[in-house]
Amino acid sequence: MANYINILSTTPVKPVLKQVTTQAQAQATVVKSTPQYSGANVLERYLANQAQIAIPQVSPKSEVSNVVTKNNDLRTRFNNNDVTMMGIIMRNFGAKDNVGNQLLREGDIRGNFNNAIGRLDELKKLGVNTLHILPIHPPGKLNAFGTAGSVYAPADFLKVDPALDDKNDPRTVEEEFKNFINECHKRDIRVMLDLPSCASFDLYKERQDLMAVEKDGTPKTPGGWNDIRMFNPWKDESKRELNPALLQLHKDYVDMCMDLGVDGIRADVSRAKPTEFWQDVINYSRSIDPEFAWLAESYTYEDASPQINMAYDRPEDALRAGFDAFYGQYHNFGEWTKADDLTNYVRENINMSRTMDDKKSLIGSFGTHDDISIMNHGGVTYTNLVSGLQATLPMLNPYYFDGYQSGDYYIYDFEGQTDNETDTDTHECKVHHSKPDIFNFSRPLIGDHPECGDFMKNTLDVRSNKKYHDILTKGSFIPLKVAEDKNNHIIAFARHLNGKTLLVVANRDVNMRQDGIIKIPGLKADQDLKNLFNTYGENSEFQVKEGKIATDLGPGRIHLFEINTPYIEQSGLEVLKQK
Amino acid sequence: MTNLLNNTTLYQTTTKKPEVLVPKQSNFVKTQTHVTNTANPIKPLEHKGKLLPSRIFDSPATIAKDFAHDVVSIGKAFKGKANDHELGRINDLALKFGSLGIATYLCIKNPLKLSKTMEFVGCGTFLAAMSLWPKLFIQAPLKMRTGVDIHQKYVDSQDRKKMLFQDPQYDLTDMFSRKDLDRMGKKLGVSKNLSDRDSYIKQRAKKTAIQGNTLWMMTAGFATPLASALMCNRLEKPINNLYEKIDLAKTEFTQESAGSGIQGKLKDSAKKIIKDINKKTVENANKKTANSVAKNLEKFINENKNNPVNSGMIDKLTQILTSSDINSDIALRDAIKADINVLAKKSCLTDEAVRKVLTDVGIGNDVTDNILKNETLQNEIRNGAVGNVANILTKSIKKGCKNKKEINEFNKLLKSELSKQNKPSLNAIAYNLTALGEKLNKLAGDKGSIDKYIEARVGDKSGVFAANQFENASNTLIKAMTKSQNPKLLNRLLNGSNKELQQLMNGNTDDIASALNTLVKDETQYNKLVTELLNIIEKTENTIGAGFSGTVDTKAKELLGGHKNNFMSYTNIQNVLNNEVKYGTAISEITTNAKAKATGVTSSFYRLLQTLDFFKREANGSLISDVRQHCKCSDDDAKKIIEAGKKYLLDATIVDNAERLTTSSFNLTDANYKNLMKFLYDKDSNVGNVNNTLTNSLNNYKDAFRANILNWRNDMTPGLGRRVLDGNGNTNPDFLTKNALTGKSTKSLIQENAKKYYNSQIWLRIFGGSFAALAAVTLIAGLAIGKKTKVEKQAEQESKING
Repeated sequence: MANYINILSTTPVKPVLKQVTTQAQAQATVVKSTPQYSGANVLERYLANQAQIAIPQVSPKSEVSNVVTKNNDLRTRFNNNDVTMMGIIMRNFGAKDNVGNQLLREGDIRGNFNNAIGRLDELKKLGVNTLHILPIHPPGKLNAFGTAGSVYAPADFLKVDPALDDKNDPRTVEEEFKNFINECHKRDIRVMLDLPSCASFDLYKERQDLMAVEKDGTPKTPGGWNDIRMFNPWKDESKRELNPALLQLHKDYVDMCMDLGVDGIRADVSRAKPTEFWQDVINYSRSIDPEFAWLAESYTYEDASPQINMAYDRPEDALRAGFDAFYGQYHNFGEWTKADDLTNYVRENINMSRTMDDKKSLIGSFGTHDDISIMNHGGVTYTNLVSGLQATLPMLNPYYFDGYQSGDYYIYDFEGQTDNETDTDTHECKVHHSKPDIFNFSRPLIGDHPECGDFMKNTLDVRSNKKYHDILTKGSFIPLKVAEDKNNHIIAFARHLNGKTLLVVANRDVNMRQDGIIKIPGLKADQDLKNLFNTYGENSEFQVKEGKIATDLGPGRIHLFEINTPYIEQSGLEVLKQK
Repeated sequence: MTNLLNNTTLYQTTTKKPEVLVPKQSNFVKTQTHVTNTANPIKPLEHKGKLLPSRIFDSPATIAKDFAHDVVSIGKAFKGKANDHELGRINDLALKFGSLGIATYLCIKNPLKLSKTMEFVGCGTFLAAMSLWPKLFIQAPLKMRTGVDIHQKYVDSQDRKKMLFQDPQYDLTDMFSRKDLDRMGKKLGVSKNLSDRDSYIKQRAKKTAIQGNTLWMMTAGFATPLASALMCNRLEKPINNLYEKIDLAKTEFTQESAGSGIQGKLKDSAKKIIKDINKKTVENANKKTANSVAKNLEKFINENKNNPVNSGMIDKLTQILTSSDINSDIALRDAIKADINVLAKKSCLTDEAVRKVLTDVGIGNDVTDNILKNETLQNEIRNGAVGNVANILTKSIKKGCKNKKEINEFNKLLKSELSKQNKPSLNAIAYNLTALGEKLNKLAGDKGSIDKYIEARVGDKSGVFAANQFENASNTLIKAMTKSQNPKLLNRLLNGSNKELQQLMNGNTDDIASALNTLVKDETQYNKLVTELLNIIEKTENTIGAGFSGTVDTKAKELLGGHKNNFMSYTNIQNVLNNEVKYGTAISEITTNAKAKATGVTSSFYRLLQTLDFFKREANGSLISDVRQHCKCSDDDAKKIIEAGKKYLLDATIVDNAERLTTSSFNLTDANYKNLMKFLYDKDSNVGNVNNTLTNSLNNYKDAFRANILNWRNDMTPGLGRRVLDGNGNTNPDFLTKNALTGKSTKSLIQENAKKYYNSQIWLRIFGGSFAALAAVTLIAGLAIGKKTKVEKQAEQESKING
């Protein structure tokens, strides 16, 4: 693990145009001065008022430091399945929709690095220890999606979007971002920045040397995304020679991340670049910070990409190239029809991990910004089921997207409507239905079901509990056979480490009760079952017998029990161990 | 960014066009350039799928595997769990089953065996055309020219077989090996110096595949039905021939005829199969007949068992028992009726009658049941032998009698009581009728096998051997005539032979004569025609020549004669079968009919040869001197004889023969008629300037014909028509034979088939022409596929320079 201090020496400091005081000082000043401005001196009152308006919300200048403190261990966290990540959109994370029309216009407060700090403690309490910050670069304005432009359509990879700047803060937006990262680090939260895979149309026009074009000069557009254009990672694909300009850009990007104090990069659509490319860039980052983590947005093996102009997806290649973790296919959990589908998928990944030279893991990609809100799969019950699985599945780092903790359906009233105010060349307020808005300045992601967050916190508390932490993050995975489960809806597996066993029993059916008999070799008839997770929905019933548990599970219920089966790994059941 | 595909692109133009961001120097851009330094670059893993070798036809193992996959897909589809790929496969399967279903329906509706088969052939050719058209006319030429197999198949990572270029945006080109890329690059003309050559080759390959598949989609709708129809047209004749062979072999009498005819040419294994088929066919025929007769008999007896026998019932019984093939023999039919009459009037006992008598004398049912099991007693009961029945019963029950006297009295009592029960009744004679029915069925079965033998060779329906040979000969002749009339192939193709064919179809005798005159002057066509006709005649003679009627005669006598001693209980039937004269009518009718039909076929062919020879000799100028020399007549008479001879050979019917060609259309004197007949049929009259093969054939003709024809005409002349029917209103067998010797006129032979031939030619020209045109357009269009566009050429050039 590397401990070092990154010295930022090149960022010019903005000239100080006004006297900046702390918020507390400002408030004190106003209070103290109130009698002095009593009615008579209008000018003084005006100035005092202006001073109050100009007060930055947080972080007075005096606290700004060019030194970003880092104690990066994100890669190790991934390797140990110790990451608990939440994806956020900086545009709306700290925003306030005062007017209430969901679009952030006059009278509302847009998200910025400063007001985002106010929510860090909330995440910390939930159990989140890593942020996935969606791209923070100035979006392109041409051929744009939405009135703000897609966060995945950067016009400049090496700049921070001025729209994220707190206008009341004299610091540069980069400084504000650094400050935000510092605040994260103070709370032991790591920061992973999202690296877009493509260029905006604006950037395409500017940097043709980076771009992929057909032989007739037509730029390559990834299917379904007309606001962006594909990079060309190749100088000569036949000889597998990489495009040096693009490589340079990505290494500059790494430098920028290092300067900002970012702890790792989430590579958007990692398949858009070949293994050699990532190997080079990742190696470069690790030459600076060996703990710099890389997460690949890579899902599953594809024979070919179903998306035009896009390369096939091969997670195994991405991991071999140096990525520490990948997305995987848990977003399909709702589509899987059998409990065995989940077991098979876990088995597939653990087996794959054992073919790798280094430790690799997945994130619990049950619901990312690319997926419709998981509330659509079964409301709070389904969300809770997912929370339980995230906390207990092996080789998995729990991942949530902002709004998960409050059951946000990501429904926007302005979807498909036009708005006079726009920062781009379109007035259409485009959003992907029931997915987090990444195209507009819109409301923060807050739903009406805080109970989702309660159960999420509960499961993460159990996961981080010293008593269970190692079992859940390092223990073996033992699929259990379930008899008389004719619909194959009962999920049952054990996690075992050093003689201790945790038993997970869940009903993947959020509509119907399911009953069956779970066979657990070595289980005693007098085993006391105490659910470590909170109760929700319909109650489940359990009857313990010698070597088995008869159960009648409530819809979508998940349970975690500690059971006394010290020799379960020797009982002849399949035992899967992540590398 | 996402990997989701459902996100539609929606770009709205607005009046406001923001300026492109002015590029700024980022705070983070460094002056130092990073150097790529990866000593051991990590390459992507190999594709988990694999390309499949291209074949025009899949192997049986592949077909079976694909079928199994389809079945699994159907199972999943029914459960609602099939994916796009599986549903797509079901669609293909549904198309095949749907086609098969339509073919089955049409097959059921169609009465003829060949037509039934052609429905399935149509289905098969449709599916084959659908598969073969793109392979032969688009895929193969494109692969040869560009190296790109537009129908390249692969097995994906989940063992599913798919088309590589099925979805243009689904890029699988990383499956190509170095060798594949080089081959395509070379054929596509991609410069070896081009930068990023592989990508460009893949791009061109995809483009070629998309264009090729587009061409396929554009043409398949026309090509498939056209090709299917043409394939059907070409297959109809071979299939008909196959059926002909199968029918001949199936009906062959295997024991005697093995080694001769068509069966002798078949391999041993085929013989065995055919023998089995033959056996089963006869068995099934008997079974079917037996079932039918037995059922009708049982039904009738049940309905009338309690009624007194009357003449109406006897007629009905006769009808039932002669309902099979046996009813064609008048003598036998009459004998059956007579025997049924005898049986119906015969007094009989029944089990019930015996039981009633025994009950009356106090014998219990148990004892009676036991006694009735006696077979001798049963025979005597059926025969109504009251005394014998009483004696057997007395013997069985005498234990109850105290002495001989009582036994005698008991016996007398039984006789008296049984006599009262001994009377004619349908129920009583049912046993005998059933036995007769079974015997008659066997007889009918044997006769049926002979009939089938004959039917397969000279039956009066389309598709049998004789009809096929007529059609072959006719088509051969028509083809030769149209070719000689219109010798240039291109003319025939472009203009068709419409005019010539229409002349043959609708023309009079002079038109036919004119066409033949042209034909015989064309040495090439004439010699070819004669050779082909002789082949047809040889085949015909081998099958229905002299051996045919001999076999029919022998088998009829053997099979039908074998039943002689089976009808000992039926006096009248037995008398017919034992009477050579009466029974002979049954056998000779079969033989004569078969022989007449066979003779009609061969005679028609001989007559055709004679016609060709006659016209040929006239054309080369030798005929008049031959006639004059042979008939010792004047030039004028010789000319009249020749003109009449041509007309006679082309057109004459049995009536013309009977009238000695004295009608206005011939207008021959009796002397000239005799001279014509003498010239045509006398032994040495045909020695002329014709080729040897034809001469020999004609000599054979004369041998067969001469023996009968002149006598026959002499017989016919005095009383035309009188000998057509005999006293019983049946066709005179002798007449049939002699009539058959006249054969079909050459004009009839031509015109009966010319219409069909004409329609076939017109159809072939339209469909064949359309298909040829479509094929040509497709092949030409294919030449434009895979070529570089101007922009591509320019880009390639620039790339080479820059590279």
